[in-house]
Amino acid sequence: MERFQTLFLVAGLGFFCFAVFAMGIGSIGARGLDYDTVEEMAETVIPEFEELAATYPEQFQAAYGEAEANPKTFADALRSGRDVYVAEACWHCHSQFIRPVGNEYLRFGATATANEGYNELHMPVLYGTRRVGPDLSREAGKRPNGWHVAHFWEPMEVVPSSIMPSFSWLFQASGRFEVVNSRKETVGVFASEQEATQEMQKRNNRRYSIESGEGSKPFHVQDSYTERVVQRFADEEEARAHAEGLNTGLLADKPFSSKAEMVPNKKGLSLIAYIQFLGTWSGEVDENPAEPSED
Amino acid sequence: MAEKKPVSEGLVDRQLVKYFFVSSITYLVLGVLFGLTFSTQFFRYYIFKNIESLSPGRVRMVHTNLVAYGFLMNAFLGGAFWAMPRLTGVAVLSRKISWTVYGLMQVVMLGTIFGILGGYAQGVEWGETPKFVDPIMVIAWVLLCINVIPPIVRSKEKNLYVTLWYFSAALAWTALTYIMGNYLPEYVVPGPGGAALTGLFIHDLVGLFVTPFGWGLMYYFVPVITKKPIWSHALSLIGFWGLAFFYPLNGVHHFMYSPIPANVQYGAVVATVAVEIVVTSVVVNFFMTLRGRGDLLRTSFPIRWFYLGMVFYFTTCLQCAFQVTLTFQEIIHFTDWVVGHAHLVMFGVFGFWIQGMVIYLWPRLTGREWWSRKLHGIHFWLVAVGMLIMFVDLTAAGLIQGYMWKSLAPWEDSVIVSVPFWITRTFSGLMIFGGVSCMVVNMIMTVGSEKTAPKLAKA
Repeated sequence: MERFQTLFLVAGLGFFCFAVFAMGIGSIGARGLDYDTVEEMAETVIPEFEELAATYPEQFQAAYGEAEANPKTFADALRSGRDVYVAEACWHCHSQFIRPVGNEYLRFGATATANEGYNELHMPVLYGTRRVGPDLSREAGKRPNGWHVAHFWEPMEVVPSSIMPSFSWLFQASGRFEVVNSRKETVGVFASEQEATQEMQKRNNRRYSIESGEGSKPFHVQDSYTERVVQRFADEEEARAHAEGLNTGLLADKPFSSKAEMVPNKKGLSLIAYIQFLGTWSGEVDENPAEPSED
Repeated sequence: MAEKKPVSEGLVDRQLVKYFFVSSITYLVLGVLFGLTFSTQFFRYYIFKNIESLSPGRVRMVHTNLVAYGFLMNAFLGGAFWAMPRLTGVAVLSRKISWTVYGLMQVVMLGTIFGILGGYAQGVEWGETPKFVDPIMVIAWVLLCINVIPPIVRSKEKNLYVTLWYFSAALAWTALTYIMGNYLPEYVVPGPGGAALTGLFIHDLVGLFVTPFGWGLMYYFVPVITKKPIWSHALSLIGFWGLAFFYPLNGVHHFMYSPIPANVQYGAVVATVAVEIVVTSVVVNFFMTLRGRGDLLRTSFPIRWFYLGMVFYFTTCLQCAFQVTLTFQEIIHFTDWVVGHAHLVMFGVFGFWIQGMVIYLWPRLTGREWWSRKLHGIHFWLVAVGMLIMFVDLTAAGLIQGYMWKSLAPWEDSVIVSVPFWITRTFSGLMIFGGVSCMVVNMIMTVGSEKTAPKLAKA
């Protein structure tokens, strides 16, 4: 019991290998999941990637060697996007699996399955163990590319309470301070960064809020930038519908002010492509989904 | 017992032990500084904003790796090189190999710091050591085994002392854990299987590298300082074999409610609760050893650090037995609760033990008496109170975050309410930094002081 050989072989090697087999390899290997490479996953190119190619043609060409959003360039983007995600430790503040508890399916989307993780993008696995920011495994298509561009440049300008750091090295450097919208139309050129930032904030701060008036009604939809009541509604439902329209409009159509410097380089393009892909891949359907049966 | 044995001066390479501890404390200071820097991002006072190689994410990874492979690794190897020859009566195979191991460990650490800051981190938690560093670490560990296994096998004692049981098994465990964690999820096993192995890696690094070295050294230093044998041989046997069997089975509890097969998750919960029983046996053994010498808690700083560490150890393990259950996991997983738990284990337990060892060993390594005993007191109280504040603060923050997420409050709200807790956390980190600085100043002044301690130098 207390000889070196016993300790080293039984406790050291034996128990360890038993545990690795029991906890790791044995139970997972037997499930017959189908492994997917990035090339297989990139066969269907997502529309957001095509949009990136159209919005930033020069950078796209420089990054992936060709101007077209096809499976080859998409696979390249997914792989390098995953590498940026790892190198910048995104996975230390954002998880990539949704649990069947804690109302997570309501907040983020469908519960995680074993199949969707059984692929090259999860090698090494990026489930994560901490959520300083929200889960990202159902992030695909939730926000437009322009949102991500502005958000990586300076998260606080998009989400005022955000504590996410800005990632300016995902962008190309340039000397001009230009404010553009999400369709890359120039709104104005400014001499100093300060002026450009002011203009940007003016445009980005257009958030809405709903407030009930005296008593139970009427409900106001308020533009929080101008602090002015934009409209009154009879009930909350109607107000919310209007506000959501306002919000969607803000995200999709209204100018998403940004600096001209905010042109993503290869790292930025790839990371956005990777994030816009998360949640679109479900893997092969398995007979026995590996979810805990308990609530 | 070690102190009963005549210790020949030639067995221990004092210079090597000293260098290991100097490295360890250097990395501790760096680690605390990196942690503090990262923590300021949480209330947007980050000073290196928009500097790529010092971005908060990378700084966070350097922080955890500095603690694991810098602070803990160097101190444990230093402690092992001090204790092992005394317990076996045989010197290590070759001093040259010892120094090579020391050098390689520094290469590993520096490679890790600059590799991660340069953007070459690996996507394995606590294994962010860049891929080009991994082989160096493996080579260093194999050399270490070659160097220290022969003395253990040729030990002059008839029965191996409990410290050596822990070291023997940990030699195999650390190598296997490191190889498994750094290679299997990266190249062989994707997705849920990889998550299971990553969970094993995170936990085995604590349980099969840090814990056996930590307890091994406690089993050595506590009897040496108290001049009493360990209370119960049988309990130490239970502690060792219980840890050896149950601890490797724990890891998957880091991914509860994940797509890892449910029976594996349940198994991990059961094994974790079993570990708590084992832990109790070890802690009881140590507190019974101290019986009758409680005055040492007042008079001996090493004993004070050791036993406060053991109180925290029992606290974290008890906490662990509850927090692995599905009920707790639903709320606390992904929150700051876990961060508080991790800090209490790594710093509040093993970090405290190492600081106790430094206070015991430094005069013996330098041949000088401590420059200031008063500074020991300031060091102790700043670090101990800082640690306690951090733990309570993060635990509370974790509960609030967990319940807010479940209540479906807007995500931003859960961030906004956490900010005061994060500011408090930075404050507690500053206290710890202040305390550690006191120790460092004391160490430096001791080296330069005139007060020689020839009696200690020969001990």
